[in-house]
Amino acid sequence: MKWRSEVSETIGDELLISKTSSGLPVRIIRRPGMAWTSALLAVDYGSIDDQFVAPGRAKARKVPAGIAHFLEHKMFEKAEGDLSERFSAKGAQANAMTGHQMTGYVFNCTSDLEEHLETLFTITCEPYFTPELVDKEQGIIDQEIRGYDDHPGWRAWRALLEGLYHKHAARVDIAGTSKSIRKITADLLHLCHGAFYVPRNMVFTLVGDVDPEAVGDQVDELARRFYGAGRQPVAERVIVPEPETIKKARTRLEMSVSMPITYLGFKGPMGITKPKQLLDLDAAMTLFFEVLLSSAGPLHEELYAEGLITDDFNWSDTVEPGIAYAYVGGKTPDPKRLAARVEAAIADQLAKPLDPTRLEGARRRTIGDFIRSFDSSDSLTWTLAESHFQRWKLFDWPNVLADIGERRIRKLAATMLAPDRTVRVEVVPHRKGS
Amino acid sequence: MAESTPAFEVVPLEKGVTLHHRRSDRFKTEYVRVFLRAPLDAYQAERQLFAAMMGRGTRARPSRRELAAHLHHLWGAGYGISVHRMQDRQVFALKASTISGRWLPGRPDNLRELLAFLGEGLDGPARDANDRLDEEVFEQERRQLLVDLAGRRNNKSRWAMIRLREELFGADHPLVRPMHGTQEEIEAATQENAIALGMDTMLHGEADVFVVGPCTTKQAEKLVRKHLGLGERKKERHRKVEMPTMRKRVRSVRETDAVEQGRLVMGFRHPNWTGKEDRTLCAIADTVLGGTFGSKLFKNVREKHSLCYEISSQFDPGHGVLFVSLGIESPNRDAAIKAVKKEVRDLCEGRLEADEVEMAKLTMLSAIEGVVDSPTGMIEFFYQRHLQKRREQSLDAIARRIARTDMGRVPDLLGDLRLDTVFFLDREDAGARRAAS
Repeated sequence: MKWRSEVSETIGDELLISKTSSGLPVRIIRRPGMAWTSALLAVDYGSIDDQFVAPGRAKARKVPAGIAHFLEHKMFEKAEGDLSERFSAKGAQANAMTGHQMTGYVFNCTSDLEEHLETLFTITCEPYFTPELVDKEQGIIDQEIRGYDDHPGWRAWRALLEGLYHKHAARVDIAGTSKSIRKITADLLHLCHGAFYVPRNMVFTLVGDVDPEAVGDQVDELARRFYGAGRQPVAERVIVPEPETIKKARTRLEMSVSMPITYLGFKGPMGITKPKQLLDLDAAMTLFFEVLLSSAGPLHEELYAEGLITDDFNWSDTVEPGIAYAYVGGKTPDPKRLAARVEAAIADQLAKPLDPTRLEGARRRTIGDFIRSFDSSDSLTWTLAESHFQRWKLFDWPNVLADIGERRIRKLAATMLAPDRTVRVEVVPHRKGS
Repeated sequence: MAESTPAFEVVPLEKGVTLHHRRSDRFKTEYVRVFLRAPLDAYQAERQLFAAMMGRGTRARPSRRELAAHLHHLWGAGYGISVHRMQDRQVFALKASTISGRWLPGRPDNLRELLAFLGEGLDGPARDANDRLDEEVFEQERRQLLVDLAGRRNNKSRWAMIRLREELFGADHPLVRPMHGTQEEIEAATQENAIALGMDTMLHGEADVFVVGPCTTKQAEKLVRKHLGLGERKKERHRKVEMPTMRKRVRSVRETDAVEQGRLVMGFRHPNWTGKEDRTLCAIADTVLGGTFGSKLFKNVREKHSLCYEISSQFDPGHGVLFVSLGIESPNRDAAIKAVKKEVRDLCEGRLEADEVEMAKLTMLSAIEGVVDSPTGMIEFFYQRHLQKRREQSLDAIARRIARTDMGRVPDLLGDLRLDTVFFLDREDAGARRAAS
């Protein structure tokens, strides 16, 4: 395999980039001295890909909500049993995760890398679905959904996305609903697997103390064995147009919580797909929130002193191709007052320059977080996959954070934080018997 | 192959003060932990308030804003103070980390700055000339502690476990009392008591300092001596917590809440546990039962019977208690109890498949071999072992002990383990749903 390399100006680490003969992209970061090796096979396919034209078909098909997650669960099961045990039998740890845009299968091992790679590819590339196994999994996933439904933070986040989006599939739970998963069949799982689990729609990433040539050769051989050497067609996603407006400004949920929880959600601009735009918006939001909301600033101090926020006050932004949103919130005795204070502070900060000392502190902190992330091989494999699918360069991130100007930060933040695209979710204590 | 040299070089600095240093240049981050011991008494609220006040400012940086700004300046250095229950005592943990200067413009000496900052922290929270805390800030932290106490109910799996422990040992037992203190204790705590108890631990609690970074042990010792200024202190006189006697009949408690999923937790106890039993054997047995995707509980209760998504076990080798926790639908309660009891009985009577034992041992050996990749994991792991006075100092010695542990001794050790208490957090409308179905 031919390799290309990118080297980080900040920390000197090297990212090796290649592609197998069957078109599977490969990304490796060597970390000499590390005991664990983390390897991830990820698919550019997540819960939002619920409408598509499968290869060789003429018509678009809508599949039940939660099928990408269901598929991820079922990939471990083969005729000979649950293959995750092969990892456990050698002391390795395996896991899988489905998000809005990506599904990934990962393992961490300290030995037997070749054998684990073989298992990883068998799990991911060789479907085995029977009606009995699908039926059994429905019960397990139903319990998973119900378990999440008792987490107030999760429920608030779900309600927030339902409020922000009219039609975008992100408004539906990644795992689907108890009802939607009952519609999933073995045939539909085959359809989705064939449509998206093809080499050029996937990426293999690895972080560890390995010989990249040897790993590359094995991955090339495995990809060829499962897919052949030719290019395989990928499903064509159906993009449902999403209005720029919000769907529902206020949502109130009753749950068994000790104190109300409130989140303000902000709908960002739709349809951003260019890598530079994604990185710039993400950097702008990260720095804007850090300057305005962190405990290094006066707003946090005031809100805490007034008892309007607690230790769990938090914020985040998500900027991915085709979807961008942000949220701020946490526990509060007075959701309305907290929301009003945060909205006013955002409007005020958008209109005046960010404090230069706090902005410098925010830049240092976020660049520090980036450097620190290289100490976790596992999470780095996911970041590598994300950067590949979203087509941005991993080592560009600290430079973007360092270089983005104050005015540009506010200008971009304003596109995300428009008052007319803001929703509020309140989770309030459940009244017995209601 | 796990490393054969001691994981940490141990240097006694003063009486009651020990440095544990690990030289490593493979990480981007450098880590420092200071652990200080205090007795497991009824003054939990005061110690929690003292720790919270330490997080609000030091004498040199008296406000949270100044403190946070300094941490940002140090490229997002991490800093936190918490109080935990560990091995029948309370432990103050001051946790700090910073990006190694090698990766930053100008190569700043961040470890030195971090230790200097921790030195400020050990001097206690910001106080005025009369040694008084800011009353307003103290009240804010009292309010936060009350919020945390009430918030224990929000995570239903954890709440079910808390309730099980209350039913098992009694709500006032030292291992069960809220780490925050009770509501009455939090409301009654005074800043004078908080300062007196907190500073007593800072000045007199047996201290262990862990440093992981590229510096040599000599350099680490010099920096710690210079900046932390931990003077001589008494060696801890540790008292083991008394355990209440076991029930003769299984106690079953059901409570309801507005939940979507029921939480079932089961507590098994051993009537004659001394706390000196073989902890390695217990850990392997626990892994066989519920520690991996191939474990008995996962394979049989989740996969074979489809009774749950989440299921796990946790054995407390200090007190001979096994906890099993799972999320289930109300109608499955009895089937789940029966299935879990069968798996626990099979384990305790020694019905272990060779591949189950091998898988559990390999999982633990991989974790031991790989713990070197996580400095915080290493520190926590070896501090716990240090508190337990475990002999093995190297990962290789620990790995060899796991490998040679004879699981044929399980029935001798765990054969008398019995179900003591079952707690079920059920849906409020579970009865109605059952009637309707």
